[in-house]
Amino acid sequence: MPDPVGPPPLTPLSHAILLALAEEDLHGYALAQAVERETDGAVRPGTGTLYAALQRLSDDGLIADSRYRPGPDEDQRRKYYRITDLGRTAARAEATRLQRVLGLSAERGLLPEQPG
Amino acid sequence: MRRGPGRVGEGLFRLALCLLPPDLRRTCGPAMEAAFRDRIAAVRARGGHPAPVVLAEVVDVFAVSIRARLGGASRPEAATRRNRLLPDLGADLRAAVRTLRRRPGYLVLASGTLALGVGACTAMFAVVNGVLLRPLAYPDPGRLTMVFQTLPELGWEMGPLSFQVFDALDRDADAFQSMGALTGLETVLLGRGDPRRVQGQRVTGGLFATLGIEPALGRWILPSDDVPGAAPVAVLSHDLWTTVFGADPKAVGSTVRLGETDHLVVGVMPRDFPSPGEGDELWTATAALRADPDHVNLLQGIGRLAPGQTVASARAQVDAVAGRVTPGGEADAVPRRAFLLPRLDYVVGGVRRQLWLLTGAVGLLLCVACANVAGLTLARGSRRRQELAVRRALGAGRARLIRTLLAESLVVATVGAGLGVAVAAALIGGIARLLPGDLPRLDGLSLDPASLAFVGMASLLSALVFGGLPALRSSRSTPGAGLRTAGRGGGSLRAQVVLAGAQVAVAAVLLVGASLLARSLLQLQSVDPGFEIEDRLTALIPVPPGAPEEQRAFLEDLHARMAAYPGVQAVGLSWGFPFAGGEATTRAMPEGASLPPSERPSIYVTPVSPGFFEAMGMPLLQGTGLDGVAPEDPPVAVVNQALADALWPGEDAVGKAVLRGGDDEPTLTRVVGVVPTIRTSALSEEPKPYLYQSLAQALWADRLFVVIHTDRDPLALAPVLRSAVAELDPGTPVDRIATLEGRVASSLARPRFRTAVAGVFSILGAVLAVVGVYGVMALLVAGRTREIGVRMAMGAPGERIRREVLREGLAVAGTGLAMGLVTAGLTTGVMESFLFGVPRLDPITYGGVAAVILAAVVLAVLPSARRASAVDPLEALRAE
Repeated sequence: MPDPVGPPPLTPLSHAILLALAEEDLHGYALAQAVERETDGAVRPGTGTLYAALQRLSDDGLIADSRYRPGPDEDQRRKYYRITDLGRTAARAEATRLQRVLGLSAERGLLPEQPG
Repeated sequence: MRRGPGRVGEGLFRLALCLLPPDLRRTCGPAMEAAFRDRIAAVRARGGHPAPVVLAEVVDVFAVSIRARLGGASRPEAATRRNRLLPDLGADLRAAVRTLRRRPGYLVLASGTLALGVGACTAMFAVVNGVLLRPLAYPDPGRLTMVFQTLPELGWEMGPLSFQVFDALDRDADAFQSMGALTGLETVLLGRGDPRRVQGQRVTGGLFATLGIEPALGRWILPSDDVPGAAPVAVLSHDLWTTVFGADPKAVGSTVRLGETDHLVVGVMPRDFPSPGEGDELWTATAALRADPDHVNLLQGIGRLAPGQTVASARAQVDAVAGRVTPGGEADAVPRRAFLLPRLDYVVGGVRRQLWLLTGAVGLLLCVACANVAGLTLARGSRRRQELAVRRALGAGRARLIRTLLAESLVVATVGAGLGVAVAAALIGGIARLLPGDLPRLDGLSLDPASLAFVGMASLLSALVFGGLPALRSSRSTPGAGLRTAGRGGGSLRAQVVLAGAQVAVAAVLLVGASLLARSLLQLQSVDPGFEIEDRLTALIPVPPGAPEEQRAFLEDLHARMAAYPGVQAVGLSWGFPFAGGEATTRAMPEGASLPPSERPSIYVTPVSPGFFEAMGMPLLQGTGLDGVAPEDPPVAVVNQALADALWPGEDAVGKAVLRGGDDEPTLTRVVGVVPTIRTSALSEEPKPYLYQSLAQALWADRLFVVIHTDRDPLALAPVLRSAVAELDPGTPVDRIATLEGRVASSLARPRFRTAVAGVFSILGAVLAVVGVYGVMALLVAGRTREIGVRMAMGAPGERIRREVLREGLAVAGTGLAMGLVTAGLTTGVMESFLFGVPRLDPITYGGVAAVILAAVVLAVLPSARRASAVDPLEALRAE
């Protein structure tokens, strides 16, 4: 349910988590790697920070436990997460917001020069 | 090494998780542990050290828990606070540094205290990590066990194995995945520069598979090398390969001469190969010994337990297999019994208790340090209560105040950790220098990344927990209450007083322990060993191989050459030597007595040459010496007073005969003289019964100790001895040259080490306690500024105030001291075995410790007393 005023902006970490989960269901460390990769290393959450964010996103209904279970040769304590519909909506809202930021930036000549 | 920090790290991480809010811990705890483990595995896979990652992860969980607990307000606010936290941290830290610099006393005391506690703990962690946690750098070390057999006829519980028993176990005991055995080897390496004495092990073909370490070059000794008739092979240590072979890879495949036999070098072990014998330089096969029936019971067995087997299950099987072996040729063969001991217990068994004792003492020290940091922070918090209350009243949130205080703790922790590293490095350097050479496995002792991570973690935890909790407490009060009670200690003061008292008690216990050890050392140093130690040179000389007549000629020549040298008073040769070992033991009884072998007293036997007693300065008490005894004469011996007293109490021993050895081949030896009893392995030992046989009548040894009494500088004789030996036999190296004085002094290395370590730690404890008392007195006086001001305004003299404060301080310390002395009296029993010549309730020690502590306490209290008596009544009243 999008709020009439719009949800508050996502933190960079939450946004990166939603982006990573939009591709596939992941467990904690794989998610940390995906986040680090997709942000070019700008966001590098520690395990504690990552799970605190996951818990918050889960409380807000943006992500949920995945139906995927660890395989027999995996650490059974691993927990897989998936993105929810609400999560996709929030990620989309964030993208819209960023798009607006990009548009304004372009108008005011604040976009980096495109090579070529 | 690689495993240690991982397990420790996981434990720390799990501990840190306990700080998280319960719901997060419940839902995500296990998953977080899994993710942590994945991350460590990834770091390892990249070849990095996990310690920094562990530290970062623990700090991260810390930060999350603090954030989570500060949160709890409505969501958007929480979100903005989250976003602001990190940028603010820098500002908070800068503010903290400014605040701390304004009044540096707290920073110096708190971080210094932390540095002492953490540094001592880290040094101990490095030692325990090096000795206890890391000692067996073999794969899966928990499955390695030592195998012994009982040798009832020698009275040995843990005797070496015979080839017969070893082969039977190797063949039949399937509780072992594999088995190997080794026996010491001392030989001379020839043909590579000067003849060089080398030590190592003869090993069976299965030993290396059992230990599971691959050679760095070439191959290991295989079962096919260890059968009679196989070509002799040798494996070199990394050290020997580097020093003698110039680290030439072509050394493998070359031939070296060891004693009389050429050996093919087949391999080189890696540099850090933890040889089962300390200081081993090379390894050869046991095959050469198997053919010789004289070599019985000399193998040290090592087994690797098969998967699923425990020490207990293997023990039963090994015992059964060994029991089926009957020693060949002995009519009254006693069935053999075998015995297993986990290798770790065997290697560190002797020092484990000492190390845990030390660790306990250091842990106590860290507790004291933490208590001090807490105390100092509380004291500071109560002085700052007014400031905090004002800030609160002006609208600062509680979270904001806590962050300010935590930032200060963080600065203290960082400074403390930095100083702690310095303290640890200094202590480790000192420990390594002081170490007695025989403490096992200290070669790898250093301040490694794991220890550094330990410093970081320990300082952070103690500063955050013991600095943070008081901070929480200080920030709790409502603005009104804070303003009203500004400057007063309240309930925390009682806790503080108890803490300070407890610290004095701990310091008293540590100081009593250290003083008892120091007094024992002094007593030991004044023990008379029973022989002259000055102006004597000793050395070990291998007897060159050859016929007995040639060997005898070599020794007689050497004896004559040295005795003829100017300044030499006497020269003696012997098998065994005081403070160097080499004696044999056997059982003996007076002639005519009938005792079963197991009830005959155990005695020490060592053959000595004519001149030995003169060279050692041991006067003959009765009878004659061993001069002029010929090999074909009936066996004669000189006994020491202890042996004479044991076998013939109250009688004259000279002329009596002693029956020694087993029943199968007893030797009747006539006593021709009595010498005083000397100390032979430790100054603290009980007198041991010794029988000195004539060297002329003894079986030939392959090496002998020489002792030379001179009226010049004994060490100046060393080159003379070397050249005399070289002239007689160019292939014979002279080894272990030392003055007799030095040999005896080095026997005190262990007690000296113990005393020094205990001394350092007890002084640290005392310093910490003094800081603690200072802190509590400062707090006490600060809390009473107003009261003191009022009293002084009413005309109370400063002198009285000063004396009152002093009395209070001494009351606190005196209570602690009394408790400490009682505790010391009750607990010094655990160190009784380290004491010598000092009763553990020695009144001088206890009195001295009490005096020192009281003097230190007076010094700690004086500044506060002076400050109290200097209170300006007007200032004090206006401050409210």
